[in-house]
Amino acid sequence: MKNIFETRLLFWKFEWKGLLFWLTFPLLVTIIIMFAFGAIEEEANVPVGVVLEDDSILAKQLYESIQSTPYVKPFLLDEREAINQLEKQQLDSVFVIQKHFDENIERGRKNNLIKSYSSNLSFTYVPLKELVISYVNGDFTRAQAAFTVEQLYEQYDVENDVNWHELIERSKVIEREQNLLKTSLTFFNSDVVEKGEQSIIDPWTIWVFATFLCTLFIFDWVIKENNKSIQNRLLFSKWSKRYYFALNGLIYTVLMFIIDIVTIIILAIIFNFEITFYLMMTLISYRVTLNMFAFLFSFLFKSVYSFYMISFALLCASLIMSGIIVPIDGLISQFPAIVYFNPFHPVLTINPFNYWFIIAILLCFVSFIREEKQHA
Amino acid sequence: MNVIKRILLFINNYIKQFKRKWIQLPLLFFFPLFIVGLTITLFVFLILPDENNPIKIGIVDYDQSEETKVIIRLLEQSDELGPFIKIKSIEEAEAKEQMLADELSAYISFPKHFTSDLYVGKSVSLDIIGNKNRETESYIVKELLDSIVRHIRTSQASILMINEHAKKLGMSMEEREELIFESFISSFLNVLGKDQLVSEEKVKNDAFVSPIHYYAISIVFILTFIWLMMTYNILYQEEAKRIFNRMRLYSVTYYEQIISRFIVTLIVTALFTMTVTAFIQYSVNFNLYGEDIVRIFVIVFLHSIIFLQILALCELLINSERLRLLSQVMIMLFFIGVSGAILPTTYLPLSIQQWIIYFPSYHSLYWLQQILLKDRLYADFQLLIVYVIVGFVLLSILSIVKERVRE
Repeated sequence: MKNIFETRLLFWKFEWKGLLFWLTFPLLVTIIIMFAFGAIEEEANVPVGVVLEDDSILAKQLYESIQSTPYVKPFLLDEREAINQLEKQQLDSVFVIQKHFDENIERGRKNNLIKSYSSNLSFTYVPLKELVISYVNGDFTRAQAAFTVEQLYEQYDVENDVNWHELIERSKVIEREQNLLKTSLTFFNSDVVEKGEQSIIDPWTIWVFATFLCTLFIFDWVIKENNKSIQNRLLFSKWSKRYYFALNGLIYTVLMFIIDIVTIIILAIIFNFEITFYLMMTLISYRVTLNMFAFLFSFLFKSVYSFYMISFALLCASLIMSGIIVPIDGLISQFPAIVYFNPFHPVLTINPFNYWFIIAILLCFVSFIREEKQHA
Repeated sequence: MNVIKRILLFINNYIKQFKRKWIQLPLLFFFPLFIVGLTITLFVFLILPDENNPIKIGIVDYDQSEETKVIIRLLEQSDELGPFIKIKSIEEAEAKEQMLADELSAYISFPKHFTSDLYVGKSVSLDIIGNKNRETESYIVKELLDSIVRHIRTSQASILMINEHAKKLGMSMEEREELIFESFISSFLNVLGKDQLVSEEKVKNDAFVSPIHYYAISIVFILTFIWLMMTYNILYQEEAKRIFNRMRLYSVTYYEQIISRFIVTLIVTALFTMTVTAFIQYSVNFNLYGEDIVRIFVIVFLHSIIFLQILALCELLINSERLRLLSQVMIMLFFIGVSGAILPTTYLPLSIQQWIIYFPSYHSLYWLQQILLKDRLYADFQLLIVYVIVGFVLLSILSIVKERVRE
């Protein structure tokens, strides 16, 4: 045991740079991706054309509201130019604020307020339309209310001391001051509470896949040491090949586990998530399963380089299978059995009970028995 | 002369390598196809909602006021929310049962005194209870409710204002309640009929542009990247290092080896790409003229060389094989992302957009789209040619430096 550890230290002495790099890589990559993504998400913009055919205050306010919406970058253009740019795909869609916009709203006419142009490559047209509609409908509702109030005064034959614009402003003030109606989303039979703004990616997911790749990369020692020249030397030592590889695998697992814990603590501090008991258990079960898998898998290879390439292919397949590249909820709700084939599903949903763990143990067991027979 | 001879020798050697491990070729061809195909299939599943399987939302009404009843009835009957959303009134116990049976995507509960609280200006919360198995759908419901709530907020403010003035005018309690109810319903009807506010028109980008054509180009473009990357790296041999030391005695350089790998990679990728292109042309049919094919060929050829040069530069600069592969993959992803093959570049941050036009991948894809989608009879190769020249200069310098350093 002690000897093997010393030999391992000798190996590490020569390759400590690489080892250190791949051990810390999941942490680094998680931080980098999270920040890069945050920056892009913040700066992402949807170019939209706005045509003002009406120069009333109401129309200008509508333009300003669109302008103040995050992610949306409106360009004031004339209609011909806007459509031209839309055809060239320089704009996502175009909204024309029609002539007599404010007049029509004041009179409660719904048609001919806004005209929109979109193409079949307008990816964000639907939410943009919803946005514009919500602004216009706000104006519309306020105008209606103001109209109702004016009617009331007429009905009661009282001199109206507030004019139209004051009424509209008043209802805006009430809306701003009394932001009373809220919505919340919780999940049935689950403690997870939705936390408002949600990023598409979370650090745990990135860490899981970065760790997957790095673990495979680090286990290239199996391939490097599973060759004739080293085997011959092993023959002269007191260790069997089985013992040698199993113990080394254990040493690596312990090392990686220590790094995992440090990584998770750092990530939890930076990204502000809680380290629960379940999370820790999931981490342990993932680490052990992954290491057993990487260990067995690397025995199948003779060349390190093809092992690396296959590792990338596996990573790619797992990303797709877990719905990271394209969300697969729709598919899962139609064919719920899919999740059982995905070894990452329990890990990503933070569930320590992964039956792949048992499969990996069985496989390890079987392969050692086979090894034994070969020696016999 | 000797240089060419040696390059030919290498090429021959690589082809032999492929013959020996012939199984690599179909793997090389089908793996990217499989991955890209799978992604597209999943994407289609994602964007085409199933009409037979609409998002089912339950509404639990604890308030039981006139207003909520009318709202729920209107929501149940309305088609405004589209055919993919079905809303029905439900009891909480029943809702829970259906959640367990995975028949409901989410349910919304109107709390007790919902309407009266709204009228007097008390804070109210509408709770959505989502189905964990249908997370995306639950978020859609949340989006939908948020958009309705935004409208209701405006209505609520207007109603409070009407109430203020009605009080001032000394209306009786009953009259006021009736007035408020009327305005509430009328503004809710506004919400349901909100789509009337915008008259929509579709612009056809070009006679020929359909998302299918657009994405067909992107798909081939991405596939080319992956094939170049994989073929180039499969040709790299680890043992080559030792052999190479011996070969250096015959004044063989890195450069020759790299050039011959370029040539073999280009031939293999060209075969693959042409197969797929022929298949796509057969199924979606682009408008192609003879000259276009030459232009497309030149663009893809130049662009592939630039990409291979970058891969080769990585190889010369980074000694660790793992790190090299990783950086090559990263660069590939970056090139694909920046090209606009996945998301058109107009949606990227403005600060990136300024630089994007100088990227070879963006430039190539742009001209490919111009030729194939806009039927342009012209393409600009200058930038690509400049990149190819710069690439070769860099490669020569680096390979010479590297050889000197080894000595």
